[in-house]
Amino acid sequence: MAGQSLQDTIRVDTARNLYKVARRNFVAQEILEAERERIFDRCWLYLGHASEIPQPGDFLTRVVAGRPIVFSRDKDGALHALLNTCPHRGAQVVRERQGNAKSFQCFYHGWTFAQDGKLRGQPGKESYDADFNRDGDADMLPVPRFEIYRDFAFVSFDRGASSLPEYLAGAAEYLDILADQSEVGMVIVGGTQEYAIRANWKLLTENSIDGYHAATTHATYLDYLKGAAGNLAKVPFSGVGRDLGNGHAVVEYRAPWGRPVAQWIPLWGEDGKREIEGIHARLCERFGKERGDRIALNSRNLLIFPNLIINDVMAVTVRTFYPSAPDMMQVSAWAIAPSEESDWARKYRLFSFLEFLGPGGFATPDDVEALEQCQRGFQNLREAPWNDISKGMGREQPSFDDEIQMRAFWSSWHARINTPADTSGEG
Amino acid sequence: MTDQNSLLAQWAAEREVRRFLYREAALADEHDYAGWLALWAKELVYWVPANADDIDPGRKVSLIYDDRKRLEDRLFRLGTAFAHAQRPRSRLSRTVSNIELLDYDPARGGTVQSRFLIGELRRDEETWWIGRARHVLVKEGERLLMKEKHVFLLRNAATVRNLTFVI
Ligand code: FES
Ligand SMILES: [Fe+2]
Repeated sequence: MAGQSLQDTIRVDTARNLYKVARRNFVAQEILEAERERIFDRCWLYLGHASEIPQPGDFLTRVVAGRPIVFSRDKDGALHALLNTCPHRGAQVVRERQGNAKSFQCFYHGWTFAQDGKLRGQPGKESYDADFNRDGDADMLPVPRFEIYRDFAFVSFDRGASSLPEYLAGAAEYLDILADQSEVGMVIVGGTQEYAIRANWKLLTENSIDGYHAATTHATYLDYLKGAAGNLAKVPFSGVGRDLGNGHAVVEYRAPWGRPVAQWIPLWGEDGKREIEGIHARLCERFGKERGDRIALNSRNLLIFPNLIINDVMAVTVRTFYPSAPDMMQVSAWAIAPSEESDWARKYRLFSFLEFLGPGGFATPDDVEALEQCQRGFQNLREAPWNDISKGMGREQPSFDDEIQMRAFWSSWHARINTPADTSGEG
Repeated sequence: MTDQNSLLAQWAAEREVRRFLYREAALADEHDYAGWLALWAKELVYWVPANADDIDPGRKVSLIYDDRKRLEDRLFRLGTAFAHAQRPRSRLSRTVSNIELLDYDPARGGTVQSRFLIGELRRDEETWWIGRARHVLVKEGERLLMKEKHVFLLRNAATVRNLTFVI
């Protein structure tokens, strides 16, 4: 690895409250390679939500940091994350996107495995020694580390990684705030939006927690909300940005849009009001007024380093993305909701979700355009090499439309990218 | 022996539907939002599902699921100078074919299925949108109108680019 080039990636001048990020970080192939080795191969990465595989035998397949993974629930209800490759000669054992099965069978030579990956059968077993699988090396391999926090399942490919709660640091509280929106459990509402953006993946990390761009980039969306009577609560935008440690960050703010949990807007009518107020009151009953209000009324855009976004806004979206090249990423996005939510609220939630989010929404396409424009602008990087993310740097408590969230991300990114493999556990 | 008149009626119905779909395609390609919107009945559903063709859009995530109000807002937004994802606009050219009248009554309308192939050029990037469309058409007076349009993308379970034109 070209060590030198990894050092001058950010420039921080605390005396003048300046924070600059090298545009090269978004463009260079060797940066992407360093990220693969030092970020994606080491950090805790989002795999999925327990609600996606609710029944024994349920499974789904997903690619995490380039590895095909099986996320499965065994007959006793325990969750597993397995590398989707046959211990025999390599074929992907599970080929469906999701389903339910008593066991997994590799179709190539017919080895079968339990949902926890244990080898169950081999055609022609008599040709092998009796203790052939003594050391378990004919079982499907689990992902090196797999932990779940409040139904959010994460994997790490670094055996020496710290525990998940330790890694989550201040972000754990925000997963609590989300999980506490349900008394029975949050569920991923079926369906994935998948889209591609011709831009560096870190641009989406920044954009997803950027409170600064909404008033300009999304002017048409906000005008649209303003245009229809009753679309908005009488609440101005206000709030804070926070560094949550380990590269995680959040913006937490009041916004005028309706929230299924739980900010009523006139458009939802009197029945809607009763329902939303009931949800709000119940939260205050369970958690006290202060926390109840916070859960119900605040919007939150949360980054869990490096690439998990949970935006609890007019709906809640869970989104993750990976680079396939320095200037290309693939995004997967889901909606998540309290499982006990009424049909009315669910319908409204999905309606709001689609209105704002995804490749056919009123906001996401303009974000995509902004990111692609940045990537194009970076072609000038030799003469124009630096991005600026200084906004609010001199403030005691930066506002939701400052850039402390990006600084939290980049400071951690910089530290990680400069940590060679041999100093991180067995790496 | 086939009744000449019924053959003729069938041919006339097919021709009417075909002309309608071609007209719709042309208006969409030309970003003539007002003209395209005028092809819709009052109550409408404009739907592009995600992941599979048979999902329940009330319970699962789609790409687009518009009623009249949402569709009008969508088109209004696209018509402003601030729909950044359409500045500059996509250049579009689509072919509509394999038109089948399913469950169709020339006097009242019905369900029509077709296939499409849309070439999109935006700046230097060319994107192909391929799929099947299902129209529910209604006859109002002399005019055919769309009551529902469902667009089943070939890529409905793969990554797509911005879908910010009329599909
Ligand atoms: S590769 Fe799976 S059984 Fe041979
Ligand atoms: Fe945005």
